[in-house]
Amino acid sequence: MEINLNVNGEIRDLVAEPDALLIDTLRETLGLTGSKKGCATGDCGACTVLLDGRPVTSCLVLTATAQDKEIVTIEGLAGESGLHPVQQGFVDFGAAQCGYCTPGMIMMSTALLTEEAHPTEDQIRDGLSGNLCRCTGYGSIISAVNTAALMMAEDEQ
Amino acid sequence: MASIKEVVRPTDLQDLLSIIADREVESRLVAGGTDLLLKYRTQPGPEISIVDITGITELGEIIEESDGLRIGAAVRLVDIIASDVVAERFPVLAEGAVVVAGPQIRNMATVGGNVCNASPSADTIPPLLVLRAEAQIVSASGRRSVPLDRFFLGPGKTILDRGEMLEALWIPWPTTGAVASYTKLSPRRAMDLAVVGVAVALWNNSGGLDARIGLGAVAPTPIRAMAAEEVIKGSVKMDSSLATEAAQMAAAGISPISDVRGGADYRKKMVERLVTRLLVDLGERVGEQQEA
Ligand SMILES: Cc1cc2nc3c(=O)[nH]c(=O)nc-3n(C[C@H](O)[C@H](O)[C@H](O)COP(=O)(O)OP(=O)(O)OC[C@H]3O[C@@H](n4cnc5c(N)ncnc54)[C@H](O)[C@@H]3O)c2cc1C
Ligand code: FES
Ligand code: FES
Repeated sequence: MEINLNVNGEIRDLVAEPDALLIDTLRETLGLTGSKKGCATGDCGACTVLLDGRPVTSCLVLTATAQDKEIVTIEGLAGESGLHPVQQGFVDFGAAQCGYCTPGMIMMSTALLTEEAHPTEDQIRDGLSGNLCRCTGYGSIISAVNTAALMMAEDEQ
Repeated sequence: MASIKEVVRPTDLQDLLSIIADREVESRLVAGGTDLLLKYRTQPGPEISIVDITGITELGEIIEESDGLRIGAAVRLVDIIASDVVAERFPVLAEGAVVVAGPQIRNMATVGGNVCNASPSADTIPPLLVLRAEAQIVSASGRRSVPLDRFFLGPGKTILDRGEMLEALWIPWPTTGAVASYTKLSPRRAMDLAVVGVAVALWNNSGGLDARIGLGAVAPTPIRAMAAEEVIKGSVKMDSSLATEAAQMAAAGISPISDVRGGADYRKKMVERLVTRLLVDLGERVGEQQEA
């Protein structure tokens, strides 16, 4: 079926099978391979993208039902002036080892900071409870998000 | 494997109802898709037509009516958690919604999907049972309303007939002074299904105390522990011996299965413990009924 998707602010026309999942369309059809497919069962969070501003696991979204919605992937996060503060935080803290979970972690953290500008550590842990990391360990990831929150608060001023 | 032939996205309820009334097409409703998409990918079956219900505005609304709250079937768990009226009048429902999966899933998953999927461990169902929820059902030929404790037939099975769908969950306003709470027992705090889930509501009426107890993951469907409710009915005061007596009754009335999440004996013990604890806690908070 013919579908148009609004991805990272651009309208993309494409053809997809009715049973296509958003994660596969993003990666295979649109070449946006930043979002990762870990489990395909909603458990790991590696495929997290923003749909109308809310983080969702794109392995549980039919491409057909993502029409008319705004999709933001990790590729759409950095601005003209450089990395998003959350991305910068992950770089500064070495919060990525193999990097497989990282795009999902960053999308989820970005959404978290939009809703709660000054999260407590518990709020960060709760916010990231649907994202699994097998290698870095969660400590540096949480520090990265904390620092990003501080950077964003400074930018506000 | 079942394959998806087409995806249709009606924006009008009558259109949707005539699509699912069509006997020529094998159709499946999808709301958040968090249960359905996994199921169609793993279970064999015929070609299906997917009908997205989230385009129907009224199914996504929470409406305060004179005698109760109407929660559209496609209201997402995240919206239940954020709802002021739920927080104020039915916090136990938000307690159930917030322990489902993780944030990404709760952004998509709907309360109607949680109910219609009819999993024994669905976290919003025990709270809805103790809140005396009714399932409002609609089809092309009309509407009917059924108490939620008569909605489930078995794992994944409900009383919905072909052509019918859940339109809303309706909950009567609580008696003044009523209190309720939900506890989910699971090894991980997030992203884990309940080993047991227990919801209890306690209130006073003219004849003394009254309670409702809802249990998840201990039977083929979420159930009420009616014999335990009877033990409490009419008592003057909740104390630990009454709580224990009722909790033992609740545990005696179930025959859970043993599976990877927990053995049958463990589940019975945990039901007894959790029911006791909730009754004692709620007994300290329950208020007197006020004359309206
Ligand atoms: C990783 C993961 C973790 C999970 N953890 C939990 C958990 O901890 N606790 C828990 O309770 N659940 C859990 N779930 C299950 C799931 O997220 C919930 O059951 C969810 O609420 C289902 O809602 P949905 O809108 O996504 O349903 P869908 O998948 O859209 O639909 C579910 C079923 O209901 C039918 N249906 C939907 N709406 C209607 C309607 N209005 N009328 C008639 N039929 C309808 C569909 O046809 C389908 O059969 C988890 C799922 C995943 C993927
Ligand atoms: S790939 Fe989607 S949650 Fe794991
Ligand atoms: S960095 Fe390897 S899974 Fe997280």
